[in-house]
Amino acid sequence: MNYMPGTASLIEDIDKKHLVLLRDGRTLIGFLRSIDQFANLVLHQTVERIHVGKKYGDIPRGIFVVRGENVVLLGEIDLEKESDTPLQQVSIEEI
Amino acid sequence: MFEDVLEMAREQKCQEKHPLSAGRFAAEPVSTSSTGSCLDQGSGKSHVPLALEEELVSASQLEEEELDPDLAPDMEEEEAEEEEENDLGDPAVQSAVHNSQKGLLSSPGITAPGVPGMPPASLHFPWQMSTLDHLAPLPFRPSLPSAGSAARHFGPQLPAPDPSLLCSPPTSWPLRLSLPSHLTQLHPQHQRILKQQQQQGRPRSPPAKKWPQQPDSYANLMTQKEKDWVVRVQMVQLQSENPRLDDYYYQEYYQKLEKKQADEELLGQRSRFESLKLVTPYIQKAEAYESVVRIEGSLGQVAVSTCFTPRRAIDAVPHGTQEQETAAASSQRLWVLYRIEKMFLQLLEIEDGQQDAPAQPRDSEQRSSRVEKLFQALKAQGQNNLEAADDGFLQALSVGKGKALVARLLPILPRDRAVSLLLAITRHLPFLVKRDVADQALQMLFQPLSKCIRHLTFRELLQGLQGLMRLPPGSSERPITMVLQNQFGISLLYALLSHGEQLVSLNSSLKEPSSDHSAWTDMVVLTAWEIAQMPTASLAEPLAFPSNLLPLFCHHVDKQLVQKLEARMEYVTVEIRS
Repeated sequence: MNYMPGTASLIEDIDKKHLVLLRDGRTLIGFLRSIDQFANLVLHQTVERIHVGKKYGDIPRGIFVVRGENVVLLGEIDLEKESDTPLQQVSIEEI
Repeated sequence: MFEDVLEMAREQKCQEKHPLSAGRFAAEPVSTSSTGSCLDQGSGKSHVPLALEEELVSASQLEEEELDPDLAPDMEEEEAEEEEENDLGDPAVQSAVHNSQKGLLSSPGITAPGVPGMPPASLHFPWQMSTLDHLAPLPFRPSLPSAGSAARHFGPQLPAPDPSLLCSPPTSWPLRLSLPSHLTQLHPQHQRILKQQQQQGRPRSPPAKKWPQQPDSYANLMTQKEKDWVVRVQMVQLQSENPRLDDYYYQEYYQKLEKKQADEELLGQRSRFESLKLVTPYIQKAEAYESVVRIEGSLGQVAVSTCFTPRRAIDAVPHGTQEQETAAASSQRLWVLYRIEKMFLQLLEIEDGQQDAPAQPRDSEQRSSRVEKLFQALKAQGQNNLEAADDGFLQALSVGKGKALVARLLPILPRDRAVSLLLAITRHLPFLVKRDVADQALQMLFQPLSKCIRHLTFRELLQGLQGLMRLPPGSSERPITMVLQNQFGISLLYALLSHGEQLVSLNSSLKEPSSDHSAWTDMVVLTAWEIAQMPTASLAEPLAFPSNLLPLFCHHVDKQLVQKLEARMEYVTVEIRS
């Protein structure tokens, strides 16, 4: 269902798992639940992912409301390909 | 049982900690009576949504805790917490509910019955669904599941949302919902309906992606209405008076797409189908309000307060346009840039006119007057009127954007105007070359200029070239030397020479000895000599090497020189060919 042909919209991305990069450098991963006209995002079951070299650690954060202007980029995560990374998950203490 | 509770509730009304819950109790009689009769299995369903919504509204008013997202799957284990803090703070209610709960659970699969006070656990999930689908965006949406969190005090419940309970079928449910084990507790009719929806959903859903194991119970937090609202707001932001101007690239793309489809349709390759185009809704823009109110004869502004400007302090009101500053170097440059921008706007207007409505007699007159105006603007004097005639033009050419402007302008200029520009460029070629060292942008002028060269008469050509040959006072170097070292310069020179040769060969009258012809010969010889003088390394590579140059030199120059020339030029031509 394409609301606006020729445009980019977040409507189709709702309820999907996304990776969001913020202006302060944080990487959040969560389900995109709600948006508005400023691209403010509501992320659900959010996890903040910290990368160090080839390893990464996840900090569960809960629900995030992100102001649109602070988003650098965001992209959908393919749930099947999510486990296919060369990166290794470690505990957050280690990171 | 319910009547007892009511009595107790009324007694305790005054002592209630939460005034709102009193309100809930007041609402009780309605719901209780309607649901009181609904304890049997089948008939309860129609009454339920109403009761649910009433209790729902009051529940939402009361609860304000945030939902723990992991709550839903965990609700099954909450029996232990019954005795803990009750949000109502009313032990009487708690016990009442407890009793009623026991009564409820004796008949599994019943989702309906109203309970005084706290909504029973089994009811919480249909609320989720009903809110999601029926109501407009609620300010207290997050409180909804927390009503369930309070409800979890009261024992095990059926956690999964039950779409069959509702009037409107949820849209994306069939795609997402799998039938987990705890749903088998449902009423068999529910199960059947769910399974049906699932099966309908599956063939429709795309084969590639299968949804992961857990059903997403938080899906559709954003209702369709909300989504439409966001889309609508975005559409409003996109509307414009002049889409070709504001959204040029999309319009072009769409035109090309349509053309391609039309062509393919003509060829019969595919059946006609419309590809979607973005059409923004036309919404009347709010009238511009008068933000600054001036009363005649008053000093300054009157303080006007509107909904857009609740408190407007004394604003800086622009007092007309800035006058031009005195001729400092930076302001001079700014002035040139400013001129170039204005000329560009004129050029774009002309080009647009050309594209939209070609070949209409009235328009062509208008167009040519516009072109002339632009030409005059280009040639205009600088700020200081004592400067040389060509100066305005040269100043514009010193800027990269100015070169682009001239390059775009040349094709649409009438012949004599174009020629005058060309001659001006040729005259001042060394200066331009010097100025261009940073940009290297003169190249873009070569194409249009070479087209223009073909229209040159012999006289004009000579005029142009002679400028390059003259020894400037106080220097032993001819301008041509510098020109040869620059790519644009040498290309232009070659083009001019080639054109001259063409003219001479075509027009036999020119071959007769005349002042023109001798001038031409001198020119050629001199050029050849200069080229031969230059070390090959510093000779720039021309953008285009005309084929009739070497023969030209052969005609006029002795063999030795020709050999030298060949050596240099061949190096160049080999480069070009490779």
